[in-house]
Amino acid sequence: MAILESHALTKTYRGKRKKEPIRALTDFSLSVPEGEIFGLLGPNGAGKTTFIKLLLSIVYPSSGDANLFGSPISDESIKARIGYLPENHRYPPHLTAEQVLNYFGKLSGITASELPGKIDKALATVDMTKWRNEKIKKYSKGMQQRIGLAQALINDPDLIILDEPTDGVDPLGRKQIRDLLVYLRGQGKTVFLNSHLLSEVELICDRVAILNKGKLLKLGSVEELTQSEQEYAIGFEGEISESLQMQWDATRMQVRLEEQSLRIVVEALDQLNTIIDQLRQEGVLITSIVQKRSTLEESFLKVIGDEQE
Amino acid sequence: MKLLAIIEDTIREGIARKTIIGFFILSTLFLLIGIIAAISIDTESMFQAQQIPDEQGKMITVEMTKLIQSGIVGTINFFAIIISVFATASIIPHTVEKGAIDLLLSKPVSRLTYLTGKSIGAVLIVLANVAYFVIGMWLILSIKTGSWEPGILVSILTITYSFAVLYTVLLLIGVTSGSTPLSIITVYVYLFLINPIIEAREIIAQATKNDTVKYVLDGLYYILPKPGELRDIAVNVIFSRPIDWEPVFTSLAFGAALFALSAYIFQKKDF
Ligand SMILES: Nc1ncnc2c1ncn2[C@@H]1O[C@H](COP(=O)(O)OP(=O)(O)O)[C@@H](O)[C@H]1O
Ligand SMILES: [Mg+2]
Repeated sequence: MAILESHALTKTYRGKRKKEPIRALTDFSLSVPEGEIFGLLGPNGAGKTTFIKLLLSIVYPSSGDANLFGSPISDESIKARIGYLPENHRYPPHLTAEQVLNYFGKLSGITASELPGKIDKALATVDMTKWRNEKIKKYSKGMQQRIGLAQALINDPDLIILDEPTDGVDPLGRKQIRDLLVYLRGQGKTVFLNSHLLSEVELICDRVAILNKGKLLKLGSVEELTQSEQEYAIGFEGEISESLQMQWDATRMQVRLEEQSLRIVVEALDQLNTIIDQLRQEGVLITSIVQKRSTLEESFLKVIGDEQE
Repeated sequence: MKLLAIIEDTIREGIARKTIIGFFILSTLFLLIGIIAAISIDTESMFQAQQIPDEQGKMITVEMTKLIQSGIVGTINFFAIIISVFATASIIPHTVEKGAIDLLLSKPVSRLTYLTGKSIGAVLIVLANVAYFVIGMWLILSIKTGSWEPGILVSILTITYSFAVLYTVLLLIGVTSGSTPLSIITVYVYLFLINPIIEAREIIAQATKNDTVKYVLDGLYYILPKPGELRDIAVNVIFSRPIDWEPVFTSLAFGAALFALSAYIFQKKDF
């Protein structure tokens, strides 16, 4: 079942003080099934935060619509099943971790009798128990982010929406956050996250969408997005004849000869095999064949670059 | 439960931001002045010197107490409102601030509930402080004169009510602009400039001999809040005089209209 669905969701912000209106999101359609970690990628200003704000009715759509748990987003009660970690949030500095969870827990609709137990659990999940009575104003950015996560988990949500969760967090903290998200998926939760840090997303997301200037450019699994063209490195010993190289040039094969290694980009596997046959006929010894996967980052830059052309 | 949590947080934030503390320190300062005045003015020897008989003396004391009470109400009414506006004007701008509002709106709580909770919180902060000050003054005065006239206590309600009505202006400006200074300035312009003109409307109308001016001022008088006339209700209670309820209702209509408008704008707004 799709937990999150949007249909041609569009948002135009009214320009402030005679400025041009800003089209932040255009005809964005998406479906995220239960139990998935889904990543929405894009450079700053792509419209990622706008999409989340639309889902939570923090801003209202200009056109199109969206459903969460099968109910329209205008239905306020669905928010009881959502946990949200906003981007760059400032938690009330005068409250302690415990008081923050107490306040937002109550707003999430948790009853007074359940609250203490849930606070303990949420604090333990993000490893902040020993800071529970410290005021937020003493926290580092990483600790604030963890309290934000605890706050997002306090109501035991089925859908967790995170806006740039690892922004400003040190590498160890990032690893902890990633582990937590994977753990949550294991619990059957759905995780939707926004990020401009591609290498992070690559590690944990089941599927990703690439957004640029408010438009959806690509949607698919991380493998699908990073393997659109296949590149191989063939290690060899021996000499490759001039005539074979000229033959490749003539047939426009994408081949690059390096020291004891041949880099080729192929569209299908039979091309790879043809080249292997040719090498073997010349008596070249093949020592290794390695598939070079482009990173999501490269694929991302390529997709966005294509768009700009 | 959710509404209570919002009210509680509003008060907690007021305490953290030191506005409430400042408020109480100021009140305490004025109460101390009251105590010093009470100690230094020797009424008994004044009566003895004039050789007023006991019976009559008691009556004079009661009348004098009422007079002083109305004097206190007349003096503090305006002050209390001005300070209260200053102390609570930042509540809404802080709520709608970037980095604060989005998380609130992501919870299963209606925007109207937030606005209501914040408003009740603000009114409670003012009520507590005004009650502290007025009850304090009443105790000092009553102990001094031995005459426990309760009339002045009504001013706790009239001042808080005047504030609550004016708070809807803070609400509207806060929701539309998110600016604390602009919220304060707007209410102060009303209290220091527009309200005095309206209160003097009969004199102005007579002086200009212009019907349009008169109608405009009369119209404004009915529409806009009337802290002066609400104060007079407390004074009339002190002297057991008949009360004119009209300003209560017209102020209520004004407050309700502005609250509804603020709620509507808040509901529609993108954050
Ligand atoms: N409240 C707003 N009013 C006007 N423009 C906005 C508002 N919020 C975002 N925008 C604009 O919409 C575009 C998308 O912003 P955003 O959704 O925050 O992107 P991202 O999260 O991908 O960085 C940007 O050009 C941004 O300036
Ligand atoms: Mg963003």
